[in-house]
Amino acid sequence: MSTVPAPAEQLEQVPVEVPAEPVRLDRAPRLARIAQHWPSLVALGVIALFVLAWLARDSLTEFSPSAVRPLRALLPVGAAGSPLGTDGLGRDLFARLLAGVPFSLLFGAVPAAAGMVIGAAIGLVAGYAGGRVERVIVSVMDVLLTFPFILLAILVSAVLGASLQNAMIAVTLSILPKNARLIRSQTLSLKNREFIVASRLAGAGAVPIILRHLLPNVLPTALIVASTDVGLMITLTAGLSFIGLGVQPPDVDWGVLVAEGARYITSAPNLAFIPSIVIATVSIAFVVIADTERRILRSGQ
Amino acid sequence: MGRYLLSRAGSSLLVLLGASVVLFTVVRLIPGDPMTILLGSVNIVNPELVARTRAEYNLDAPLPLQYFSWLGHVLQGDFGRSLWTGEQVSSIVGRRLGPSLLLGLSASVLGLVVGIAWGIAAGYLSGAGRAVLRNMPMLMLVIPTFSIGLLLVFVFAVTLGILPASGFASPLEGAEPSVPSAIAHLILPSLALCLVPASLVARLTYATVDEIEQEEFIRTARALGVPRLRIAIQHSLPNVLLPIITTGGLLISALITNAVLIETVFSWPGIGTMMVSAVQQRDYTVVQAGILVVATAYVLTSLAVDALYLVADPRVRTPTQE
Repeated sequence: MSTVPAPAEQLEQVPVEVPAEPVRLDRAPRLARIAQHWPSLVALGVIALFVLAWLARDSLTEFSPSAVRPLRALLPVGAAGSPLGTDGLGRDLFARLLAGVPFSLLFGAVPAAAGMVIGAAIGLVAGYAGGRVERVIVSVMDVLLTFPFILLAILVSAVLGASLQNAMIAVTLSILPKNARLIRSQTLSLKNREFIVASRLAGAGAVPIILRHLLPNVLPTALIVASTDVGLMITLTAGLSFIGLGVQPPDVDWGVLVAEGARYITSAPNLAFIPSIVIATVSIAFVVIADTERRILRSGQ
Repeated sequence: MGRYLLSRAGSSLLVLLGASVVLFTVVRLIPGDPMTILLGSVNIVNPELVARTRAEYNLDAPLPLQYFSWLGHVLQGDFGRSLWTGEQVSSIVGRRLGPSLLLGLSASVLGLVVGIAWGIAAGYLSGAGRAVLRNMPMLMLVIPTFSIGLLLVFVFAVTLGILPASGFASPLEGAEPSVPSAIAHLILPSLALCLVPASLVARLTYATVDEIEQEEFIRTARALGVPRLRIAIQHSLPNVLLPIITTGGLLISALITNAVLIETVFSWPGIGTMMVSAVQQRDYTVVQAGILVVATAYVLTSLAVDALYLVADPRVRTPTQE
C-alpha cells in the first residue's frame, strides 16, 4: 500500500527541525542585530501604544465608553472631543475602542497561551511515551485537527451561554490539536539524541526528562507558534464577538464594535471600519513579531 | 490506496458518531428537562402530566437507550421540533440548506480559481508584483473576513449602488424567481467568503511552484525554450493540485467557519445565521441539527476530496510495494 502524505505542513510555516545547538546570540553586534529586526520593533511599539493608551484612557478622553448622549449621536470623524466620531447612541468611538483594548488583547493572548501550554503537554507526553498512548493521542488529534472550529464555538455557547470565557474555551480547544501535533513531532526528533539517552541511562525518570531536557528545547518553537496564534486569535475571536458569541454588552471588544458599526454602514462607515483597521493592525503586529522570532531562531543555528 | 480510503471512511464515520454522542449528551444534560421546558413554555405545572408525558416520550429510559432512539430518528431526518417556534427542525434546515450550499459552492469555485491564479502569478512574476502577491495572503488571513464583507458592501452597494447590500434571492422559488437577481445577490458574499480559502490556496500554490521550479523537467523545458506561461499551465498547474487536495480538510473547515460570519454580514438565510440565532434563542434542537448537518457536510466533502487524490495523482492509483 502506498501512503498519502499527511495534510501539508506548508501552512504552518514553522521550522520543524530542532536547533542543533542551544540557541545563543552573539553579544558584540547586539545593537546592529536589534536594528535589523526593525519591523518587529514597530510592531511591539504599536501594541505598547494600545496598552499605554488604555492605561491613560482617563486623560485621553473625557467620555465614558458607555455614556449615551443622544445629542452627540453619529458625529463624524474629527468632531470636537470625539476624534473618531460617535455611534448611533452618541457614545464616543475613541473611548469605546480604548475600552476594548483589554478584552481584545486577552481574547487573543489567553487562548493562544492556554492552547500552547496544554497542547505542548499533550505533545510532549505523546512524543515521549510512544506506543499505544501516542497512537491514541495522534489519531484523536488528527481527527480534530481540521474540524470546523466555529461548530465547537456554537456548541459551547449554546450549552454554557454566550460569554467571553466560553468563547475562549472553544478557541483554546480549537488550537490544541495543531500545537500538540507540532510539539510531538519535535519531541520525536529529540528523544533519541545523546543527551536524552544519556540522562535516561543515568536513571532519570520520564517526568524529569520531559521537564528538564525536552521542554527547554521545544520552548522556542512553542513561543513562535503562540505569538502567531495571538494574532490569528484576535481576528478569530473578534469574529465570535461579531456574531454575538463572544464579549457581551455592556462590555465591548473590537468585534462587538464592528458589529454595532455595521448597522450604520451607509451613514457612518467609520464606526465599522476604524475598529476593523485596529483589529487588523494588532493582529499583523503579532504575526510580524512571530516572524522575527522565527528568523532569530533560524540564525541562531 | 483502497485500504487508505476505507480507513478514512471508517474514521469519518467515527467522527460523526462521536459528534452525535457529544451533541446528544451535551444538549440532553443542559439543566432543565426537555419536558419541563416544553410544558413550562405553555404554563402547565402538573406533576402527573409531566410524569405521564415523560414516560410517553421515553425520557425515563437510560441515556444510552435514549441516544439510540434519538439517533434512529435523526437518521430518518427527524430532528424534532424547534423549542422556539415549534416548527419541524427538518423543514427549517431544509429551507436553510439551499442558500448555504449555493454560497459555499460558489465561494469554493471562486476561491480555487482565484487562489491558483494568484499563486501561479506569485510564483512566476518578479519584482514588486511578486512581493505584493506573496505577502498579501498572510494579510488576508489576519484582516477580519467580516470587515472585508462590510468593505465590499460599502463600495459596491452603498457607494456605487450596483449590487444589493444583503439578502438572498432564490433563482427557483418565490414570487418572482429571477436568475439575474439571484446572481446579483450572490456576488458580494461569495467574493468576501472566497478570500480566505483563496489566500490559503495561493500560499500552497507558490510554495509548490518554487519547489518544482528546481525540478529537472522544468529546467529541461526552460532550456528547450518553452515559454514561461506554457510551463506554468502545462507543467506547474497539475503539480499544484496535489498539495491543495491534501489540505482539503483545512480549506473546507476555513470556508465553513468564515461562512457563518459572512452569512451574518449579508443576512444570508443559511445554516450559519440559523445556528447563530438559535444560540441566542436557546433553541437547542435547532443548534443540534445545524451542527450535525454542517459536521456531516464537512466530513463528507473531506472524504470526497481525499478520494480525488486517486484521480489527481496517477502514482497512487497503482499500488507499489515500498
